[in-house]
Amino acid sequence: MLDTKVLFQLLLSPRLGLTFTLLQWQKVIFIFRESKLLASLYHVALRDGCFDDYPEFAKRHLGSAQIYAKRQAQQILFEATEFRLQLEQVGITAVFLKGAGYTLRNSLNSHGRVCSDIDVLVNKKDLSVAEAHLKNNRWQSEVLSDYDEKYYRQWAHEVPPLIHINRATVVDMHHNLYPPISGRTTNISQFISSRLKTSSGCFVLEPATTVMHSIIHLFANEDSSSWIRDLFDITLLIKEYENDEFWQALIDLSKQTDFEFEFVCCMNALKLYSNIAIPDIAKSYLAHYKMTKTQAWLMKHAILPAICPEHDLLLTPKIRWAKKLVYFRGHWIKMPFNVLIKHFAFKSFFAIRDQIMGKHHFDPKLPENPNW
Amino acid sequence: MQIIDTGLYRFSLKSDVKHVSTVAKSLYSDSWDLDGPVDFSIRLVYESLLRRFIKPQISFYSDQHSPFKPLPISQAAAVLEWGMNWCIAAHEFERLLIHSAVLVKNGKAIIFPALPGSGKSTLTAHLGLSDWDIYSDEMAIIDTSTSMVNPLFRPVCLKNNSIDLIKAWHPEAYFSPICKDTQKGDVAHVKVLTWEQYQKFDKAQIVAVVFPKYVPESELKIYQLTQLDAFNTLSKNAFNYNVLGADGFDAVARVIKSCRLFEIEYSDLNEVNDFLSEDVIG
Repeated sequence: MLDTKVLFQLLLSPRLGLTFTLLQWQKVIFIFRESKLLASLYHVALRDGCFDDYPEFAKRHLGSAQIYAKRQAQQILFEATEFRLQLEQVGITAVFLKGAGYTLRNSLNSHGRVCSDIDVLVNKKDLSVAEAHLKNNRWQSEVLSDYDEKYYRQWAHEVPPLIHINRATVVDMHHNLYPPISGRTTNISQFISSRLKTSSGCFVLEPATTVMHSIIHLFANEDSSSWIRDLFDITLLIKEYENDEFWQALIDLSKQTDFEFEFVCCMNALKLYSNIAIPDIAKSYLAHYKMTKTQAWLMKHAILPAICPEHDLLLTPKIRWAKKLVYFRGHWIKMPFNVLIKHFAFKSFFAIRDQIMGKHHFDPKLPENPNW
Repeated sequence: MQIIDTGLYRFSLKSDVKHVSTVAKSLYSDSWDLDGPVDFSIRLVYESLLRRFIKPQISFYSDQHSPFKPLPISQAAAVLEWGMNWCIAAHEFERLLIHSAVLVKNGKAIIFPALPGSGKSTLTAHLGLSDWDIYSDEMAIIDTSTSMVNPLFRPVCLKNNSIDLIKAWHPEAYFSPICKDTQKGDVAHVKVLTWEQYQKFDKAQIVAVVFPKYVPESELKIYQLTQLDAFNTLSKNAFNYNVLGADGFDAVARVIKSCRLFEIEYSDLNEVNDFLSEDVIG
């Protein structure tokens, strides 16, 4: 039986795959294709030395995915350098986050990892200068609906996605790690000042800060579709960078940023799914941390099960329910109640309409493409 | 659920539209080996309840996602073939995929990259149903290390007038029912191979690249292409050229350097057949 635990175990001990039947492999390929983990599995199996013993069927799919990932890593290096140089013209330093950051620092979790956009962090005071300069230099934003524009400008921690007009690269430029509307903005200058310069000349966050950001991004998010991949990132980052100083810094950061519950969830997720040995310093912190009853219930029944990859082969009614709860909680902690109600009213109106009429009924008519 | 085996890629199909299952059965039933894993799980489904009854539309799903917008139900059978093409093009990065027909004789392959309307499919179907081995109508699947081209077990997609032409020339062949008014006009698929024939095919060396262009009433005109022109056109026709990067560049370069390169204008397919058989394959 495939479930989240078995799949996570496969990523950590790829030799497990040697015992799989072809039909089990087929399921693994489908689920990891959906979770964007095929190329990651390729690399862990290669490092372990068991890739060559996998069946041809598996090798073909993992091999193909890693070619795509390799090309994307090349593009990220190129695009990040372009972006860095562009902002340096106006004296602004961008720090690269998440996927692009992993690739730039060449951490183990970046091998085979794919991402859909590049995330960067700049100081809020620099944001308008940076955006204006980019828009004078071939970066554009799509025209947004009034509601979405307002969402970004008033509530969000990022500007609307910037798209390069020639290469269609998408950059999400952040000024904080979490939406200001939540009232939980972190002191971002502390994050930015903890940066490291990579060999490409681009900046990334220090290891502990990187992991803290990954924890916030995962456990305070409403969209659980990539949680298994994100938890695998955190696992490999910890394995690669952990030492006493790292753990102390991570615990301090969780307190300073006020994302202690998310940190506790992460430690519990690692205990449940990974083989990471949680050090005593973190254990004693966990023992002293007091969760409310609601939080404890939420962690057990929503957050931990929702790490399951979003695929029909795995989604039991319980897991679907957990993912719905996580979705609601993610919005709940992000927005004040009155804003949240309005947000859901908008989104559910469109969702119900699409269910009745079909998803694309109200889309603007596209020009016909004779080559399709 | 039914299995569609195209030789290199296996699909499992679930269709809400019975007609599509019937067509798939007629085109692929000889390759239905139920054992073994599939590469892609595909579905044709009604997107919404209302749309099942009012102006019915069908959506193609590859596993959990639909890469295209829904299309009218009349196009369902064509949507299946296009969807299968999408699955291959969006996931195959170990081999170079060129939008091109592939015909083989005496173990030597000619690839025909061409834009829609060039008469490529008519040419492929006619020659394939005559005395050529047809490796593909839509994509040349080339091993990047050796530049050998792989056979694929698929029907040929015919458009508009060519449906009647091929029907007149090859009345014995199986044609799927015509899908009217698609983005490509009227579309039908013709079965050009049995599974038994397909299984005898080996990878083949590419000896020529021919860019065909149908010009009504024209005599056969043959132009030699420069390597540079052919490289430009061939790489533009490669679905995954950007993803393959340097390997894609090298693979295209190897094909170009080892091949004879032509552009032809034609109206009579028998003249084309003579030219290809005698002068190109020789």
